[in-house]
Amino acid sequence: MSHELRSPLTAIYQFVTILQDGLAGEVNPEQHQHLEIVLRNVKQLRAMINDLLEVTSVQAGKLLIRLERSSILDAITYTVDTLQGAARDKEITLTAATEGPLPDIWADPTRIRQILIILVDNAIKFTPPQGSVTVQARRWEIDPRFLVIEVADSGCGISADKTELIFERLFQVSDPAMAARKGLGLGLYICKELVSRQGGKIWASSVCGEGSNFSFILPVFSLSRLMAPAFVDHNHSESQITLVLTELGSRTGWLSEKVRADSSNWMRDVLQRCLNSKLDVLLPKMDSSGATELFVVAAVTDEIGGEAITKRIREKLRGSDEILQADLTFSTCYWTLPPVQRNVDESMESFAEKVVAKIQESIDERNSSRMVKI
Amino acid sequence: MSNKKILIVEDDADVRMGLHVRLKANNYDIFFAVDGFSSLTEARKHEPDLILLDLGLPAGDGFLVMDRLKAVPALAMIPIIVVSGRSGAANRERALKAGAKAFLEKPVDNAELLAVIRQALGEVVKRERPLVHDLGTL
Repeated sequence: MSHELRSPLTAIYQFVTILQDGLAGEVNPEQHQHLEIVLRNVKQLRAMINDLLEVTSVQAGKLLIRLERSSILDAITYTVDTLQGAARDKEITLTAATEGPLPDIWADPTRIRQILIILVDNAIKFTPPQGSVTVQARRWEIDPRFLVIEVADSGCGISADKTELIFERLFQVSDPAMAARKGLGLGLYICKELVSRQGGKIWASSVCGEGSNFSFILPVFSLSRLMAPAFVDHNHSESQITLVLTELGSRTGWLSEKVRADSSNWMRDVLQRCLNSKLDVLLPKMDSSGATELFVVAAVTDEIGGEAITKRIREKLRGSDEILQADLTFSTCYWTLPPVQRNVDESMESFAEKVVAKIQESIDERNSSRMVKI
Repeated sequence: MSNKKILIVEDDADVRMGLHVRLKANNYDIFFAVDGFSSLTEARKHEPDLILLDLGLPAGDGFLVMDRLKAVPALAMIPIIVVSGRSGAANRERALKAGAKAFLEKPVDNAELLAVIRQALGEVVKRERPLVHDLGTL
């Protein structure tokens, strides 16, 4: 569907700007003004088409979310920088009021930026000149396993009975004072879907005439929480943990940032396909040296040994186009940790923390020369 | 110095013409192909310095065109910029892996298109008059 919707819009944009730039002859000031109106509406239509396509992906279950260890401060800085111009044009003060340091979150960095852009863009639209929009993040007081991110504005506000409805698909504000923004009513619905699919929650609070506060929570990154599900079906009192290390390198002895970025997602997809999703965990990205990129799998069972996994990884990587085209090398190996005892009545999370400490210790020991950290 | 040559592979006649006017005004010589099949013939005939490639094409989509171009030694090194209505990380990743220099989503704003073309051609970006309109961030 996307191609069919975007091609006519592309042609309209191209020819309006051709006329505006005088490439087809001189344009008088009044005609110029009219073309400006067409262009403004093209931009609006483009935003609507993007929203529509995003919702189509949500409904088809095709929304691509790549969870990784990410920095919320980076996402806030990106958003504030991106929308600073729009805020300035409206004489609105846009600030990031977050004070670090904050722990990383377990989320898709692209999607977090998308959520923040929608919320801050809305806040700017609903706030009158001389007003303010503030973005901040902190540990959530109610549950410290989450960060809460807030976008607060001094705009017109939302009546109390609408603060839940605004997240519904196609909901439109009926208040004429707030209906200045023409849209399909999909932005907040997309935010809600994106937040909930990353294990969070979003809500709004507001006082009519005084402003609104949009808040959402996202889980703080925790390796033990990431690993805990792998222990659920594992009833033994002690667990055998096997670590599988795959090292991606370059024949030149140096892995550039570009190759590293290009290969990383692809490598993680390959490794994920070699795992038993219930028993094995692909650990988050690790720091590594300029020559190599390291990927570690923790296999929480002795039934599917490290040998089987390494064999699968080697089969997938050997002769693969990605490895050959980028002139990369790889090696993979595995080792088993001493069994970790689970005490009677010990919670899964506490046990997972113990296991994670052992994993960290083992990786540190093995790679101390490379300064590898999880 | 003679103008650089750009081959536009695009099946939509209006979009094709819009690109033609914009790029001609920026001193490029423009050639066209309207489907996957003719793109190879036109590339051989004109030996362009750069190819702007749509993905959704009749008679062989953009991915197939890239595969074919990369298989012909004389054409394999021509930089390709994908300009497509297809969005999403998967299409972007696939296009870049297939050898595209850049992936731009329609409607691409003029400033971005010209900057990417100049970069791919190794030209210094120098704007003499404002021929561009920012489409915004969303």
